[in-house]
Amino acid sequence: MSEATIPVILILSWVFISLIVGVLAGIKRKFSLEGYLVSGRSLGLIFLYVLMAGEIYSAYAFLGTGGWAYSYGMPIMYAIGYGALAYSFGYFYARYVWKIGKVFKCVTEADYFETRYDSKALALLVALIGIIFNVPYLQLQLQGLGYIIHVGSLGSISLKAGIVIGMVIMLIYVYTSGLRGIAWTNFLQALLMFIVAWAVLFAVPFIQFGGIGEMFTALEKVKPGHLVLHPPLGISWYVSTLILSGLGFFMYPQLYPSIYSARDLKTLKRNYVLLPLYSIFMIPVILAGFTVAALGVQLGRPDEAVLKAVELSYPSWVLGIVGAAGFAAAASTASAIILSLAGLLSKNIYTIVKPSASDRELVLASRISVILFGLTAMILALYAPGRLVALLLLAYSGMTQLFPGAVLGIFWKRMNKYAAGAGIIAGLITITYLKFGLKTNPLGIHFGLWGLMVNFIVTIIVAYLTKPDPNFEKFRAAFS
Amino acid sequence: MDRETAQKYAMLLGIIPWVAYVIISPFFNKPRPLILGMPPLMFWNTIWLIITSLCLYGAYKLELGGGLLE
Repeated sequence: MSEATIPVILILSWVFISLIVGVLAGIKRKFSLEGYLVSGRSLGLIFLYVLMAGEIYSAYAFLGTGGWAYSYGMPIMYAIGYGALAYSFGYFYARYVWKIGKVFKCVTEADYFETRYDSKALALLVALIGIIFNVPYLQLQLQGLGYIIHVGSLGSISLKAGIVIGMVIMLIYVYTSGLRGIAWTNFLQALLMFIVAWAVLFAVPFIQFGGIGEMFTALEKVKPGHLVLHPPLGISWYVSTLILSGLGFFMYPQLYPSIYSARDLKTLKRNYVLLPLYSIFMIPVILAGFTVAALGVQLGRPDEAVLKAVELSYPSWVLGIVGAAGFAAAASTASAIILSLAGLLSKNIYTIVKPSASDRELVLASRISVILFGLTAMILALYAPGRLVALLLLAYSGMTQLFPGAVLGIFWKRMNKYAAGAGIIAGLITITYLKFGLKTNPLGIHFGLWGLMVNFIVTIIVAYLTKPDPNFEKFRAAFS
Repeated sequence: MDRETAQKYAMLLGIIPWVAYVIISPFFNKPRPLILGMPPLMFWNTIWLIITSLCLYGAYKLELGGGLLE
């Protein structure tokens, strides 16, 4: 028996359990489109919670935050704050999305825009933005997944094999069970994340230095800059990133099906009351990253930090548990993205080609889209890693450009499809120019926030130059 | 409490975390003192995850009392 046997068994059995649970969630059901994409608007508090928690806790949260703590230090604190900000915004915003979804039978983010602005063209724009910026994100999740499985299995499962295994498992249960399958498997994922964060990673600074305070004292000697925010990731960067991420989070397409899936408004709101607490899971990950920096270890790639921390502090088989947790984190996020993109493609793009499509046909179209997006992301991850970096750098800022259209429309009568569309396009042009033309953040403020400011100005000017939206009354009537 | 007042106070509670993170937290940007072993900014951001939940719980109670969650 080689050293790698136990980790490999741990990872593969976890992957297998996820498959079984995900498939069982929906194997005997006949799904309507609502049943498939938003679980028939029936989820209770626990499933809703793990569904949304899985969306924020991605492979990036696992590898990336630890890596950031290792290489930059305190700037990673933005990741601790933005979740709380996003949820205190979402607590109020989600009410409108949920209610509109229920009254007008929405299942995607683009549906919400289409309902408010009565425009298929705007819905198409929103759907395309969601797809263009999230396919690279999906690819990144898969690469992270492959990498974690590779390291977790002590190198005996190759990177490419990890990507293929992870993707095929996800495709099977998302194809079979839709959102129900994701909610069920996320319940398992959350349990494993809990164990890894608190039983494995939280102990790392104690094992290496005897305590958290001792670890930071040691870190201060090795890398004094790590204990504070400092340029280029200084205070203006930190504050603007917090604002941008806090506002932008609820513009991601995978958030919308999870909002629609809530059983009622009380369940949805209780869920947001509890979600900020989930970000505490990131603390042990960050501490592990800091510990590796404090030890003065030189890493080839910063994303190895968390895995290095485990390797230095535990017997090698523990890496297997971390590998399984990495799969869990990546799968819970990636599967939700795949399904939401499939919804956009079938409900908002396919219906333009074929307006008469029946509900059953749309379920089939969604399932085929699931496979399409899954395989695309897999092929990109296998054969063209890094090819879509440009899109990825724009992704967060790009999605945030939907904010004025989504939020001003709720209470402003003048807001119409021209204003929303013009604002989005102006915002996208601004961020693309700042990122690839100017190549710097003016005044140290995140380029995405500049885009959002231009977006707001253009939106408001166009709204005043054009007629108020007659559709507004119909939209508001849903809330009285 | 009527609907409008409940909604107003609930939203005020929702703004508190934004003030705590966006406006106040930069003032904690220094290496010392270590609180519960953590640098001040890390401690502040962590403890506010819990307080944010409490704020939103307050908002929930207000909205519930104002009949906004039917």
